[in-house]
Amino acid sequence: MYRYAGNADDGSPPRRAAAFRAPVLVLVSLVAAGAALGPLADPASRASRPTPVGAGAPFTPEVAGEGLLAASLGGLRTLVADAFWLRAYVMWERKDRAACTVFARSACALAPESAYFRDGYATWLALDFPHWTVRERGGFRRVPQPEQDAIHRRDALEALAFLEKEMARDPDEPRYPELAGQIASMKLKDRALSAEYYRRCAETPSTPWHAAMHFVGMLDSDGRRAEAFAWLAGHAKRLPAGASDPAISYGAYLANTGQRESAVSWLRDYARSLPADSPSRREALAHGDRLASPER
Amino acid sequence: MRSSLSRLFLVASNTAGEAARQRYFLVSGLLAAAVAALAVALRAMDFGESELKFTADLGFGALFFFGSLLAVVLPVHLFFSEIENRTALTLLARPLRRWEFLAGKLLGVWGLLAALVAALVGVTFAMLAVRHAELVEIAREAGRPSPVFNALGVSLFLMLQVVRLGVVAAVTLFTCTYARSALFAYGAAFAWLVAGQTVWLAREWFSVAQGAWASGLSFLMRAIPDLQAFNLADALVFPGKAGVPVGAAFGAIAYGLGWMIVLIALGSALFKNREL
Repeated sequence: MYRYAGNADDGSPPRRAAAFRAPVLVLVSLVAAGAALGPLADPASRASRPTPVGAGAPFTPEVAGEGLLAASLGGLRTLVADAFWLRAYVMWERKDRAACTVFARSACALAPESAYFRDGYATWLALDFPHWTVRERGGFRRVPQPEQDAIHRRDALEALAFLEKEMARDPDEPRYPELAGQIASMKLKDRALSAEYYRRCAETPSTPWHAAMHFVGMLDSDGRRAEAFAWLAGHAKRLPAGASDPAISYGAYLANTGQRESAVSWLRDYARSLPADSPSRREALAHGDRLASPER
Repeated sequence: MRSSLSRLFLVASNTAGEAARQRYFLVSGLLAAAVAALAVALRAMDFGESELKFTADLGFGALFFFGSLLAVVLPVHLFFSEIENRTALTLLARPLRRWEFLAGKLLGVWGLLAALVAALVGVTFAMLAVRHAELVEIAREAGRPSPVFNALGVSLFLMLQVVRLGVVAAVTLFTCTYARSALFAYGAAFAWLVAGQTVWLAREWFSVAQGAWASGLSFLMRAIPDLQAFNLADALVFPGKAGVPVGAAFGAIAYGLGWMIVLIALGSALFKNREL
């Protein structure tokens, strides 16, 4: 068969085909090698991801940006995040909301696994920023109360939206629902919402002991005692051995805040809701009797 | 076979010697050690993280940054200095095959990078061990649980980083085989590096997006070595209840070694037809 033999620079069809063939072959070889070797690295790649992507969390542009920063800076991102957080503190002292937000959000983006920055930023957003805004508009004596309330409410809702996103990303972190419970209670005066956040906090694996106490306390003061006891029955199964019973802690709280009758009634009702052989029942009855005794 | 190995060794030892004489290598190594040692002065800045994690992050972060930089700069510099000074012509006129030249370059650079990794991980490990002993004592006195870090995990991390820098150096040498200028090789190698660090994100996005095109692109992305697979520091050094992921670490090591062989083989094929 006739084969055209041109020189190296003539741009003839066989030369052009050869020039095209080499990169294609290299690319095909790279893909084939990657496909053969890839499964070896998949477990390590999943275990090393700096964001909860792939663990059920939604893949948003924000999460992608955090992943990009974390993957590009490696371990140094911790230092850079800390530097941004220090700078955010400086801006916080100057009460510069915009700059404080930028630095705090940057620190959050650089350390996607750290709850500390997120917790701190949401606290500033809900509790500090609205006061600064009121001050900028003339101070709390000049700004009408409805306008102040609207500012506080807007920032509290923004903080809750931020915390909700974090709770979706990291459902086992107790700090987010705990702070959300405080914000809902203090800033929105929404007891039902606050109770719901405390319940979520109490159901995380590393919950602080007081979250369950706050939750049942809120249910009790809203007249939902039976609901509180039903939840406590399920919660008792999750508590580690030796952990204090949140119902008894709530009884002690009532007693220590001068509500002795409520404490006695709570503890006795709680004891009645428990099985006869339950150690918590004996403990609750003993506490109730001690509080009810006239010598006290 | 034996003479081939001895030629490889000769090229590798000469490359390592030449690389070690570069001033930027010494400066980068010292800077990296200084950043790792900064953890002692900066440990009060460990917001929201444990002090040991902050120390490890700083040491391993310095290794990540300076190691990656050297794994790109050294091969490009050494490869193109051989081409531009025409010493490559002299070497290849002797009974030295082109793949031996390329593999020898990689082994020389890799050996030096391995020494850098060992030194930096050693510095970080020493700082972790000393501070860990102090923190255990403080925790015991305060009745708190002691902080933990895993020495086996540190040694596995060391191996992972050696392999990771080997992959970066192999990608860079592969780039050199088709690049016509050192500047292009630097640019392309850094692009490969960034792509390797972030390819998992792209693959994740394609896996979330529906459709055959997304699956196809996700498959094509396999052509880029996934460097994130080597960033197992947290899981290895501070393992949770799941323990040290030994299997995943060895899988990543095998993956890296496989890529190094593939890249040098492909680079040799390209370099074979290159006019010097």
